[in-house]
Amino acid sequence: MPRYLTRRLGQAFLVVAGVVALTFVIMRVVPGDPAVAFAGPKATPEQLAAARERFGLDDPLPVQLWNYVRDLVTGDWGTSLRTRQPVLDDLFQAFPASLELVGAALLLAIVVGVPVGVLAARYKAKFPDLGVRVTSMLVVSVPVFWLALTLQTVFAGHLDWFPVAGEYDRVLDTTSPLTLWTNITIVDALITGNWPIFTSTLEHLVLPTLVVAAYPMGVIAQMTRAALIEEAGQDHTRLERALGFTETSILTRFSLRPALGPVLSLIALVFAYAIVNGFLVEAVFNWPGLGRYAVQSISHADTPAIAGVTLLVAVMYVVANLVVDVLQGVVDPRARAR
Amino acid sequence: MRGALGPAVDVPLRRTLPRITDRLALLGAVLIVLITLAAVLAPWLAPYPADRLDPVLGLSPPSAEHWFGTDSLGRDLLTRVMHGGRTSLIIAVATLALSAGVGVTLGVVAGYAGGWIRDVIMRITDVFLAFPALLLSVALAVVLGPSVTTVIVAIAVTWWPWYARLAASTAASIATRGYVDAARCLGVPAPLIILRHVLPNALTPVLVQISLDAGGVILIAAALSYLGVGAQEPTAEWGLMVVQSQTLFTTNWWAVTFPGLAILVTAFAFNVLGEGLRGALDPRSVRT
Amino acid sequence: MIEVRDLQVRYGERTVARVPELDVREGECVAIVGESGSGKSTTLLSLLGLTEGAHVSGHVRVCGVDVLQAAPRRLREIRGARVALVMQSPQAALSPATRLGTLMRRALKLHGVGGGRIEQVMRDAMETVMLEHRILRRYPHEISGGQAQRFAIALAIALGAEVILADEPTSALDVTVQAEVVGVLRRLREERGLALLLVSHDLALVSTIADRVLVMKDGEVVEAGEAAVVLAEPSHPYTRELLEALP
Repeated sequence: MPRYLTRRLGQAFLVVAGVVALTFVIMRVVPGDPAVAFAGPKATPEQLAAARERFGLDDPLPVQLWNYVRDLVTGDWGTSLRTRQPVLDDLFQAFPASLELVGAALLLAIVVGVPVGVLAARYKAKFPDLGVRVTSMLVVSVPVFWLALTLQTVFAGHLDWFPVAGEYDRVLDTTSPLTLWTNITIVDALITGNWPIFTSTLEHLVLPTLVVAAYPMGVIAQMTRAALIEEAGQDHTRLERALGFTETSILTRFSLRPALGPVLSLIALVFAYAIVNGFLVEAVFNWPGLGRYAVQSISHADTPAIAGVTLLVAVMYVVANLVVDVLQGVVDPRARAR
Repeated sequence: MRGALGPAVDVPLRRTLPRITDRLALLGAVLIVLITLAAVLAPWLAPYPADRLDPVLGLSPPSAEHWFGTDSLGRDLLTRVMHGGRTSLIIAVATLALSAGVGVTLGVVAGYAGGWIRDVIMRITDVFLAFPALLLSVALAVVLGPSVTTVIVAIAVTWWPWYARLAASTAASIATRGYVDAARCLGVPAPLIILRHVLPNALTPVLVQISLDAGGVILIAAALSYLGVGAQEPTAEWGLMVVQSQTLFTTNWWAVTFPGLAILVTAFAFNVLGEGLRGALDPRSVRT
Repeated sequence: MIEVRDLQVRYGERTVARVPELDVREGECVAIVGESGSGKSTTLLSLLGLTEGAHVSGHVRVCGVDVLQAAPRRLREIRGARVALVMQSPQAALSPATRLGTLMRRALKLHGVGGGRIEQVMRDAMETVMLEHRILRRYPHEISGGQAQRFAIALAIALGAEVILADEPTSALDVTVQAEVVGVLRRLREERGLALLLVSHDLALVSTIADRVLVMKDGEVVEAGEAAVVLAEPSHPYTRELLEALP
């Protein structure tokens, strides 16, 4: 295990280095004049010159790359053109809300997706299976921003079951202010026993969570189904059948765990997808996370902020993949042995 | 689901096509034919000229004259949705051709050559794949400036590594076969071997992957336009149509619903067809 | 314990096994021999109703249950508890992410062995097959083929099976390990009166353990009778071929 871990960490480090380099290329090399990107499209020639000076854009590219890496490592991710704040501060402020939303969505996706996949595998080629296949195909094909708008209009607008937008009722900031520990509202509200904010956040979470969860739910259900059906073709199910176990208990008690390996490795992919899908959803529901920040930055052509978000999410993605690989070793004892 | 696909076997596509008995896939194929016809023939089939404005009829609900209603500028939505199909299909075809072209070339070279060439190319794909596709596309699109061409380039940049990997693994397995060895021993030059033996066989799984990916590309393209970094007015594009009418959703549901449904149905059609093709081609994959 | 008349197993149009008559009585060992593809494994699996997708006809009675007519529930009651299956590739037959002890415990609970007795039953079963108790904490990939095969037999003992159906139980094992497994099987038969139906292509093994032999080729029984007689004076040319192939 330790050797496997070191090798895997080394790989992850290489990829992160590549990610930084690629971000550099996109931000500094691709645009005709990067100074415009930093000073904003409406900048005067003097401002452009100042930007060129400030960011060393007249230096040779390798020097610029070196400076870029040095700045990143020392925590200088540039200044947002829109908020005039250091990008890293903005990101830290927005990140917990995104984590809250994506975390809730992934939880929902797993809790619903895995059993649904089991159901489909149990009744393979019968009605429940067809239903699950069609539904999961539909949810992975739906444009997420459109689903968000539709649910918002129907369930918040017309039916008024849920709040339209926001993370929680801002009035509560004065009536029952939240003590921050983790900066994740729902967690903080729970550990400090702030029930008004807790319930309000929960209400606000329902619709965006459903939308973000749709895609992962479909993918997880399909993957669970496929992995289980493949596992059901293995020799061991024959022995379990010969021992008198029912089909359902063979699936859930013997096949599910080995089948979860491929499903787990998928979750890292899905996690990144959910974060980025969450961008569009956050914009619709005005959820104060990375997505809303990114979307606002896009409409202001706020290049440093966009670069920051891109880099952060890519690094998170690499880390998520790493964590999943390590977890896989825990769930599937065979992976450890490899 | 992407990436979960291992290299499929090298069976000529035409021999497996009749085996697709999956009704869902068939439904997908029929839908794609209909959507393509509607899009290609839009200038002749659509009930109104593409950009005819009629301010008097702005935001009128679906009716006998305007089946899908009209948008805020009084343009017929059915016409716009059909023309939007053109945009989406052009983007999908161009993006997939570009990324498959780049990806397969690099992948086949990597797989055939092996060694450090393969390592370098594969590490590069790792880096590109570390970015969620939509995110990298957005960042690129912001830098390149919004347009349909931008959408194509921005998505292709994030998409080619999948094909490179797929082609590399297939090519690597083909490169070790007897007839390739034999050709090499007879002194057939490498480019010829690649063109003659490796490429045709590496292509089948890529074609399946392309049909699986078309839905995803259409979704990302719509998202880019929705974010304002994709297609611009007066181009008819589904994502753009949704964002233009989203503030009017409560009172004018049709203006958001129909373009959104168009995206959903098209992506769904490609997804089920791709899934069916994969099932037909890959004997290891589980079919019902 | 096993009574088969006019058994026919078909996949679609193709008949893969036809057995006019097969009986295994208490304490008896019957072997089905033949090369791979002869339908011997299919015959074995059909006795437990485990041939998925096949059409099985005829009359099959195992431990008093009419296998082809019984409700799935009734069938599950005899599976494991009265009739045990030992498979060819021992490790592949065990779920990779389940510890051996967990599997055995679940099977015991399934067949109504109560909480307090479980540990004792498990210990006894493991002792009978001469496996250390700590093996129960291992995963299938952490044990050897011989251990896995003996564990499969231990499962049968723990569940109190009266009949063991063994599908090439030794062919995946080393020669010395083969002897161990055969030893355990023979001892069970002598001490507990277990009936044993063995499928094998290994005539050497068959000659040491079987009372009676069925020879199958291309889905048909070509010869049947006392092991000593059949192996000493084969009447069918195919049986002679098999015997001549022996080293």
